[in-house]
Amino acid sequence: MNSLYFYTILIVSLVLFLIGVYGVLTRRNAIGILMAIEIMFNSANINLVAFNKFLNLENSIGIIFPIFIITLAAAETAVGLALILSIYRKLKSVYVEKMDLLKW
Amino acid sequence: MVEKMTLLLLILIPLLPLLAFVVNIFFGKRVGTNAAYVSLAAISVSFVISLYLFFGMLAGGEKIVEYTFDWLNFGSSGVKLGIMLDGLTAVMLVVVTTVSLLVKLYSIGYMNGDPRYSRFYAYLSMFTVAMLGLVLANNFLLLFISWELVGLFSYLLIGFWYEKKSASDAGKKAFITTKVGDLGFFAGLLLLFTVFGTFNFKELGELVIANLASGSVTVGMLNLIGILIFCGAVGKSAQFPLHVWLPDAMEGPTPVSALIHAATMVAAGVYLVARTFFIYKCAPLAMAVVGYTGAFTAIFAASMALVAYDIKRVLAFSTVSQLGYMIMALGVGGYTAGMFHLTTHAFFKALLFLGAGSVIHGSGTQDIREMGGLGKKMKITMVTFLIACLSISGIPGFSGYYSKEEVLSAAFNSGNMVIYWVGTITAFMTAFYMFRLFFMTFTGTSRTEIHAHESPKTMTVPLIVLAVLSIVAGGLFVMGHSFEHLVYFGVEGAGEGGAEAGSHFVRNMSITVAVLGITLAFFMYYLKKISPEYLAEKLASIHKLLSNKYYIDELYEIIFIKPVKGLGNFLFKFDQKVVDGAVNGSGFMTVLMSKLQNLFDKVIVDGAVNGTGWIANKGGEILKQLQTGFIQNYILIAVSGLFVIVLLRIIFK
Amino acid sequence: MDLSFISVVPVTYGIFLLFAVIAIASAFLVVSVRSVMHSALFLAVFLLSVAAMFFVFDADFLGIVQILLYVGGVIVLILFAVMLTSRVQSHLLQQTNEQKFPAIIVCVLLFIMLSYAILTSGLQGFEKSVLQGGITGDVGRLLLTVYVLPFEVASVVLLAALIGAMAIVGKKDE
Repeated sequence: MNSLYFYTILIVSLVLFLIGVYGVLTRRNAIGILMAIEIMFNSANINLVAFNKFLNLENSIGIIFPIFIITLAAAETAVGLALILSIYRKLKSVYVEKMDLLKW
Repeated sequence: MVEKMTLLLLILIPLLPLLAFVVNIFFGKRVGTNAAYVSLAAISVSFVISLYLFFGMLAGGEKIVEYTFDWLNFGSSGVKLGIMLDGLTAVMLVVVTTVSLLVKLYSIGYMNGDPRYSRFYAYLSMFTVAMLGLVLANNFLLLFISWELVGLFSYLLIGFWYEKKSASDAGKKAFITTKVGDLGFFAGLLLLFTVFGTFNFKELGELVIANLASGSVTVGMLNLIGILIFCGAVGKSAQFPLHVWLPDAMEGPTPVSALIHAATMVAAGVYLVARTFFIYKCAPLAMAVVGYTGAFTAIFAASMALVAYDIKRVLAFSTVSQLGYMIMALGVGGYTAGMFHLTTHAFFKALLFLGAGSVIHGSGTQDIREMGGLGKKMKITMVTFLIACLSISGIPGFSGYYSKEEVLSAAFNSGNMVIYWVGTITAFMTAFYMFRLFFMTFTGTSRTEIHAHESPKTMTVPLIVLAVLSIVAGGLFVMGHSFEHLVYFGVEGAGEGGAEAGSHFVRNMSITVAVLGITLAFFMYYLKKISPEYLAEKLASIHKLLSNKYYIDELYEIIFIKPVKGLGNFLFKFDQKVVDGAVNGSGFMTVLMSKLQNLFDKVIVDGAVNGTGWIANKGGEILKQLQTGFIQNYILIAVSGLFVIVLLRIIFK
Repeated sequence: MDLSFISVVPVTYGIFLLFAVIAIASAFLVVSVRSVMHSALFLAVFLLSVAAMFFVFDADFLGIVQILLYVGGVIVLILFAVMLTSRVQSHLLQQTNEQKFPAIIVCVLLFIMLSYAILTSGLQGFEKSVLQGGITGDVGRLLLTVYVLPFEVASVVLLAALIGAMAIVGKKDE
């Protein structure tokens, strides 16, 4: 019973992660990609908390780590959005297909 | 001790003239007109030694001295060379050195003022060396080497005035014609060596008899060898059919003619036959060939002498004829007779040539039709010439009579009547044409305006000496048959003056024909009773044939000379074409190769380089598609990679 | 009445499942709706459901932090950004996807593989309940003793991000 619970949580977090991956690969809007990244972060958090609940981890690392993840994710989102705004000013567009200066 | 002394003297004989040659040839400019004295000094010493040895041999009986040394070694067998002294050699030594000495003396006057004076003397000396080497050799190989040397120097001497085309041509003709004979000679020598394994005369003499008896060598083989070796004699002694060079050889200076063509070189052939006699004795076919060749040549040449009008030419034909006599004598077994005639002939023929030289020098012409009455102004020359003519005609008291009688006796006693009568008729002709020459030159009145003067002493003294010898040499023979003792073959005293009745007949016959000949000439040319022009008209065709030497030169021209020249030309043209073709071809090939390489370079090398660039370019063009600049593509690839890694991790857990 | 046969686990399990479904659905919607505005809002829903899940897992402090930071901060940021960058004609007209099929394939493959990995990993989970007073005290203690370094560093990072964002976005006066 416990294992089923455990595995379910893990599967759920996997699915969420993959949805995030799909979003990263697919979205045209840069902000949409950022949102998909948020989803991925959160799925990792869920995973970690699950491990904390079901396994005997020292020092509740399963809680602390997600705190830091949240923190950093927020910081990263802020910076990312700042970048997108900057690009928007230049390109007048937020669609990633237009951001192809790395093209040959 | 005595042997060593003799050997030393023997070596000195050719060595001194050799030194004279070296001095004259290398220091000719510095020696200048003294070249004559150098040569004379050398030959005088050789002459003295030769006389000493000759008289020593006469007195002391048969002493044969020999010295041999190894020349080539093929392991156990080998080739040896060496010199020897026996009766035959002694006689030849005297002949050669005497005539050589007199000719050198004579040439001081005759060749005076010639620009190549010292070289002439050098050649004379070296020629003498070669001739002496020839007679001193104790084996066929050294004889052959000297033989060739003699041929070389005769070529140089005949063509001495090489600015004249006829002279240089004559030299070439002499050399090439004798070379034809030498081929046969050499073939014979090789055969000899192959069969018997040695070149030495003495050894061969024994081997031939032994092998014949044991049957290891056939008479046929001996015949072959004999005939082949005889070819050399045919060439050198100007027998038919290789006689053509001798008349033309008169282009050389007269002293040369005297030395070479009267006394020495042409006698080499006879000497060769004498040395090879041990084979001929056992090979009847070869001997017959020798005999008939000699006889034919004798009468053949005499016929041509009847109508010749150049002094030297008459004498040339006479030489050929007399050589024929000698060869003929040997061919019928008259070993001693032949050699005796050689000796006497050397003296009177040399005298005749030198006398002719004196006449030419004094009168300025060689054509007897332009001469006449020279006797008044050139007394010494006339008298000596007369003595020589009497000697050659075979008048008793003169040496020529004795030697001719010996020859005819040998022929008569051998039973070969054809040869005997041929010889006798030739004697008649000889007497005739010699006196024709004499009368036309020295007697009567001058036919044309010519200044005649007697020649200087250096020229007349040799004449006198030779005249004396022409008389006296006969006495040598008579005196106790001493010549006979010296020069004979084997143990049989081959002085074939045996049968009584035969010898009387022969003697009377020979005197008769000689007198007949002189008388006829006397009537025709002195008394002018019978006109030679009338005879010439009546027998016009024969006269023409004889005048043109039976057209043999023309015949040879067609048969041999033209084809060879044609071949030479063809080969030259071919060579040109081939060589030029090769050169051009190689040049063309080089250009072609370079063009090819250029092409290769352009296409392949440049192609490779360009191709590499093109590949890089196209590859780049393809690969750059990867760089879309589109991040999501990159992330997709990254995620795929992640998938692969995890997969691998799972599989290979 | 004896209700002890009703074990706690299935109940929490069911609640969890509920929120899980909501989370999955809203996440899916985030990545598939056309309008960015809509996806932002669905993201908010997603984040809330994740917070709920945290509560179910007895990580109450974390749930609060999630709501405060994510829903309260990040969403606001995103909404700001969306509104600043949207064009009048932009929403509801374009497709918001491009390399759909390769992505789907990759995701499916990954799902299969990783789920296989999880299920065969042999992990044993024992649920432990932490029902007394929550974890807040624990977390606070840990943050300031054991994990004080990351804590401080995180604050530096936040400072850097703050300054960086301002530097990037700030207009440069010529």
